[in-house]
Amino acid sequence: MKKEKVLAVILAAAMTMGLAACGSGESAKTTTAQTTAAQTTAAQTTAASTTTTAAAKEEAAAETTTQAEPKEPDVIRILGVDRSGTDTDGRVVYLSDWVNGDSKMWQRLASDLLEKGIVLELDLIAEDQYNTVVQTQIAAGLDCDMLNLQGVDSKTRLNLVKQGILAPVNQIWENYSQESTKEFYTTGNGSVMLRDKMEDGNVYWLSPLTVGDYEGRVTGSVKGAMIRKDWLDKLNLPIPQTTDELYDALLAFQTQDVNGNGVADEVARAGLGSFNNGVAQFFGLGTDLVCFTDYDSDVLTSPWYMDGVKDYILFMKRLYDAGLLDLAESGNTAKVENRLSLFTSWWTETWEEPTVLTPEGAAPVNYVGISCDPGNGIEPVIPIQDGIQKNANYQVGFTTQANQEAVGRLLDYLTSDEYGLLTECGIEGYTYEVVDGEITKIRDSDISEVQIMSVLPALWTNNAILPRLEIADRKAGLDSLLEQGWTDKEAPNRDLFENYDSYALTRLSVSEELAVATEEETQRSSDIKADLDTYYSELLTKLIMGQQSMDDWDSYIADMKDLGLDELIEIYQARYDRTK
Amino acid sequence: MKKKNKVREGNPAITVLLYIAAGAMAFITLYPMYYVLILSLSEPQFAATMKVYTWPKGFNLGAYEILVKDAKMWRAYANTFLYVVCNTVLVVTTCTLVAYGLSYKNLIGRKFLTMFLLVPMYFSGGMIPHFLLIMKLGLYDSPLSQIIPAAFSIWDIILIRSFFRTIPDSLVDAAKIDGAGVLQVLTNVFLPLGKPIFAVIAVYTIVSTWNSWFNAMIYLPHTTWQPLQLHLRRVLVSSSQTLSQVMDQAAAREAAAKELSNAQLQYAMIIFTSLPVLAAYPFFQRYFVKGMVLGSLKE
Amino acid sequence: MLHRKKTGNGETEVMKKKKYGRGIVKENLQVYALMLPTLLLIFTFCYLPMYGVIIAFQDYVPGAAFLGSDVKWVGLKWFKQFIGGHYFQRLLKNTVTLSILELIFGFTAPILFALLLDQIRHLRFKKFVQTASYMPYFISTVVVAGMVISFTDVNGLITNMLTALGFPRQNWRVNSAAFPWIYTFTNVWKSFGFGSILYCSVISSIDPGLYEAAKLDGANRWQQAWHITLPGIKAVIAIKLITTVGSILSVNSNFILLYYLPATYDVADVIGTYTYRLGILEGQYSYTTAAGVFTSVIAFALTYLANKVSNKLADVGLW
Repeated sequence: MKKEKVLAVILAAAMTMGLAACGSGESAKTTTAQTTAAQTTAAQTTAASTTTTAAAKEEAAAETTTQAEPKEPDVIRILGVDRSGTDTDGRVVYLSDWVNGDSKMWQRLASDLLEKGIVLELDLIAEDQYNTVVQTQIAAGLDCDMLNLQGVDSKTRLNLVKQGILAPVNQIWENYSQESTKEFYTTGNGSVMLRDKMEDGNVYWLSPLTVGDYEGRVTGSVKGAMIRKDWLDKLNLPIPQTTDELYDALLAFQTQDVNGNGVADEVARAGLGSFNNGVAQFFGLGTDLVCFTDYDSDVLTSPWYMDGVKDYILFMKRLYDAGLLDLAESGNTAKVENRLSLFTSWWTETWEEPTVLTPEGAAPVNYVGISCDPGNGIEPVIPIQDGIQKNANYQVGFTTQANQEAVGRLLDYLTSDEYGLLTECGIEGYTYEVVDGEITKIRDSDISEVQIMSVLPALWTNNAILPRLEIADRKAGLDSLLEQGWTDKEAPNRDLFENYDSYALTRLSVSEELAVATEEETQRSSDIKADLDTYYSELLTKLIMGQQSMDDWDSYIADMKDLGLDELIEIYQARYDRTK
Repeated sequence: MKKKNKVREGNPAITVLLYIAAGAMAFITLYPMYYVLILSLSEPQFAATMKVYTWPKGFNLGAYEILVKDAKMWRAYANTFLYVVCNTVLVVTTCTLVAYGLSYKNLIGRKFLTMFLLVPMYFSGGMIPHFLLIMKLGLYDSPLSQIIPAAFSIWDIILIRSFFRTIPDSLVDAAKIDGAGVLQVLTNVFLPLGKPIFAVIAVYTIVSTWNSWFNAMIYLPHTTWQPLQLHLRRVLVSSSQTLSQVMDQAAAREAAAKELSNAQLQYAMIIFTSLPVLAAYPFFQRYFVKGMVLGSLKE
Repeated sequence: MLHRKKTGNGETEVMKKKKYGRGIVKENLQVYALMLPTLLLIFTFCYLPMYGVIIAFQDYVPGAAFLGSDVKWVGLKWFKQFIGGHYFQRLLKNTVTLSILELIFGFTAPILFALLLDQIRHLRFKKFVQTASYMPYFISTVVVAGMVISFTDVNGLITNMLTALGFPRQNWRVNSAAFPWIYTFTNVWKSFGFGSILYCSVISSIDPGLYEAAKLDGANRWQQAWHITLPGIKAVIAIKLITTVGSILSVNSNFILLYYLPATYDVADVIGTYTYRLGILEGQYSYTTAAGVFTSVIAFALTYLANKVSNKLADVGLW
């Protein structure tokens, strides 16, 4: 049996929440209330005494009626995405297959929830259709208790709040959840949710949460440039340390026909029209049109104003002129055809390599993270996620129709270790085993859901129906890479984590660090970005392709100022300052 | 036919050139379908690169096996079939009735009616009001949402009306003298004579219904009643994502996994779903000859 | 029969002169009864939702009532923003350029193809070519775009052909000058066969006696095509032209969305793609509705104009 030490979960109690409130769901119950039956009453009295909204009063009243039959579980109706996963046999499995089939994973989730007195009623929509369905249903008036907010733009969200359709989640955990949950969201890791506070001081949605830990240090993972190490080895080249060496290596790949197909077609993929391509970070640039000046500063700027930007464009122009760039920015043809020398991905990934088609007898494909010094006094930066990271793409919200008290109990479950473990690793003895206190996923199984759990989190999380709670043990993750033989891939990651303070970093995503935009900010941003996004990605592309001249630099900057670049930075800055 | 053609022969060299030109046209249109076919038969890795030009690289029927076992696809097939049948019958009926009305000689309010038909061809209220209407009518999430709103076509009304104009007044007058009322004129004169144009309308409706998916995407949130094209689109679109834009590791891994397994499947799917229409088309072609010409002319 | 040439107008005049007799009113009632179900459908599904265009004049957010108390009326703000935008001129230029190319090639290709087919005597071969020609019509845009991307890549099929013709080897997808031609070629390829069906059937219905007579007069192949076949399909061409002119602002943005890159925005960004990036991706319904109203009005005006001209010149029209 092949085993893998899991990247995901080590149940470090101190990390998830306060020590006292921790432990399994059962013990948590006994700390907050004397008996499980009494717990509801306790929650109810808290609610009654602290009610501020009419909705809460109603819920309290509703609770009294259901108390006559305490065994009757509350139904929470969810509008969500029918997410799919591909198992290791290549079968595509949908969440609805789990729900309607005999999935042990789903049965466990359902029975856990039933213990909390909750039954989920799902309205699952195919992924490609979800945006349309949710937008149109909002237009017609939502009828659900909880929904996946993917595809609901910020303007519409603001309006849902204004119309009183979305319920303030913070009031729910305040009034209906147990102490540990409250603590998790207010002072624990979950407190990143508070960044999404609206002007009225409330939070209206929950994001998936990833807490990365490397020996006690909270650390994110890197998504940056990666190079074909097996090609470097084949040509006896060292890993490039400077951009000049990188240029030489990329050129050597072509001139020496490293993939051996007789054509000089080895190319690097670094998107011309954006700064988020790994190469721009060699020149110290942020990843987005608006970025932080450096990782630890609170000051926002734009890569266009940063020192390295001209050198970056000139370097890219060199690559372009030498025919070293992959110009097809979408599609994965070059990678699959064994032509892609450099691209951007997570430094710990191992899933791209199997998709590359190599001739027989070639060394195994191996993409390895690199960072190159441009050699002009500018320090390269590493694009890294925030250590406590909330994914801005997959948020869920609750409606005011929902039974707030039941949602409170649902939050208790969603913040529990029990849920985190089930979502990340599954069921002990079924999808994972514990060896020497370490969780090891079972990889070679005929059962589809076991296969899925060996590579993915449970299908109900992320872009599906429930938020994710991931505790990522970075060290275990690297150990597992080593164990699988990815030595070269592991090295730059290990070096970064071990010598964290000596690296210059940049934030992978700026928008996730900002407070929710106000209505006016939303409107201004989208007005500005409408033309500015087009302008800057086109300009960047044409400068690199030499179709526009670097001599007119000042006029380009002036154009961008006219289109509102400075105002956009100001808006982002104001939003960031509000999170403080 | 043969006689007519013999009359018009010219320089044989040019004739050969014309044949070659026609052959070339057939090639450039047929090749892509052939291309899709060989991709669907190639090993998945080669299909993913799309660089298979002459002959399948490797041979793999896996995609077709998966397709045949795909219960969702068969269901979608059946749904599409249902919509095609219903829409064709309904469109021909409703459009004929209005076209007949318009060709009635003494119609009161003709100008108004013409305007009434013309305006919607250029102006529409947009997606949201349409959706609200479907909601209010209770058609949301119901197969009727694919049938009732598609039960008429203003363009087809115009076509049928033009065709009806070619029917001589004398026939109508003769029928009237025999004591035929409004309904009898329709059933005894217009319906029998209108067969060619009905065939044309039927073909148009069949093809457009077969290829439509947009309304289904908006009005049918669940797969139960969704048509084939939406199912096809799902398979095609889900694999056209760009990996570098995915900002979440699980999603990136998933996209990479789908990349290979879907590459071949999507081509097999195209072959599978286009076949019925492609096979049926030469059969329909006959009916076009008469109807299409007459229907589109005003005289 | 003679006055029927002027159809609609003539009939109305006749009607107005008569006082409506009892029989006629009764018959009209019956006729309207037959039309009623369809007219109701049209009213319900075309006219009822039309009030939705008012969101072009307000700051609409999904979920809000169109005429609710909290609606923010903004007048012509969205129109001004669209027309006064930084890129409006470029969008208009690109849209019109691509449409005109489409008009020139996309419109003539089916006619030329039909004329070509007419010259093919071997009936089986003719049928085969014709059946083959409409196949691309059934291939989805996603697949077509994927194929074109692959074919125009640096070592793709089309690139290889162009290199053989002496063009420098390159990735044609990022070449701004090539984009309009790639776009036009793809569209023509996709629809010329289907479009030619109509012309083919018209040609086959032309009286063979006319050719016979021309032949006797010594007319050659080209003269026959020019003096008999073309006039024979004149009316269809006119009708088709009117409808095509109306759609001059609506280019196939589905294909462009899949195929364009920032490097070709300067020629490829059209009203459809711009409003997609802005409206659909950012949820700006009011803005996109305004852009939609703008294009509808122009389309209607163009069609109306083309119809007028065609009625005057060729005595053929849509209405």
